[in-house]
Amino acid sequence: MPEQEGKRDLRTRGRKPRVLIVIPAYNEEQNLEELVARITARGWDYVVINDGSADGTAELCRSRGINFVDLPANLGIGGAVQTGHLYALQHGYDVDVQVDGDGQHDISYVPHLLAAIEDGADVAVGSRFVEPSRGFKSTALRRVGIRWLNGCIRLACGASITDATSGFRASGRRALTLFARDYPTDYPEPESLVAAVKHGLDVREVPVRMRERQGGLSSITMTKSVYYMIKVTLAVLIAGIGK
Amino acid sequence: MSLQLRVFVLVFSVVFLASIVRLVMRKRLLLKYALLWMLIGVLLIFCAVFPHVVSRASHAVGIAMPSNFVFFVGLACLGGIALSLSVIVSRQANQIRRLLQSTALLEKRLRDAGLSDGWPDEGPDQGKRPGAGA
Repeated sequence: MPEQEGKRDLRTRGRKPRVLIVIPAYNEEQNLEELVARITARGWDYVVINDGSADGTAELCRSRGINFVDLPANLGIGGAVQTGHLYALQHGYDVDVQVDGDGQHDISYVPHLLAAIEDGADVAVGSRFVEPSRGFKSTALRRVGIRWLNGCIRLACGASITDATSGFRASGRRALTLFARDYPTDYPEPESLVAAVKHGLDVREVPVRMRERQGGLSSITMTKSVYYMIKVTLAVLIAGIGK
Repeated sequence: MSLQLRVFVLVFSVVFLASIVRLVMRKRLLLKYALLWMLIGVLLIFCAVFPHVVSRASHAVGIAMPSNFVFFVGLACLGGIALSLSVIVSRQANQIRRLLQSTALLEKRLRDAGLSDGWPDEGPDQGKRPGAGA
């Protein structure tokens, strides 16, 4: 039974940590309901952060009784994720797991992320590339970009991370506190990892498989890629200089 | 610098300063943000009253034409103001993000307590969603 699987890992050390699944959602009315159903089937607490969606995401949440925080305007993924961290702290959760609202992340890997946190990690990143050739295909250009990014991160903080852009991650208490206070805005994933390492947090990667998007549109188009690379490179390097 | 030009700059600067003060008095400009503009007005008046200081200063930094020196200083002042505006915008972006986050978390609590039906339908925001509650 999948529900048991998720809980066993967390019982190993005294008190069972309280876990919250955070689902940032921007125009995800097509994917959200199915994802929430799969999460509740496992018995996890969750919260959807509706990031000022222009489609019917808010109405969907309201009509289906989905637990959601409704941002009155679009903040971008960083602001939405940070709202999730704030919610988790406010409600006394020990761990939050960020799962994209587009159905790209396979929640059957959530227990693996939680196991890493239980094992002492502060941040557990679900990585597509720890074990290569597992499902997710990407273009050659994309791979070059990822390699460049990994090099920048190693330069900035010394950590070897293979999938820095992954938004599928679990954050323990220390990471929650850091990210609730300070979290980057636009393309936050790589930069937040550098910040975490710089603050002495234990960042680990856990192999996961990701699906192709179930519907909707990816937020990163080809035209934005160059801007993305420049911005993230600078952000990572600057985060590496500062404390 | 001819007398004509000096009078012109003087009159211009006084009118400029007066309009800044007026904006501050009408609460349409915070004094905090007006100070840099006032500094420019004061500098201009200084240039009109003591033109020899300007020409000496421009020679000191190796600029042959005092007018070019004035252009340079003016450009530097505008650059400084533009940069300070970027800093202000960034700070306000952070504040707005915090504000939206805490408002949304608060709205969630009110909704859970049965005291909120969600955000009003129309609003001048860019994250506007059509047909809420329609």
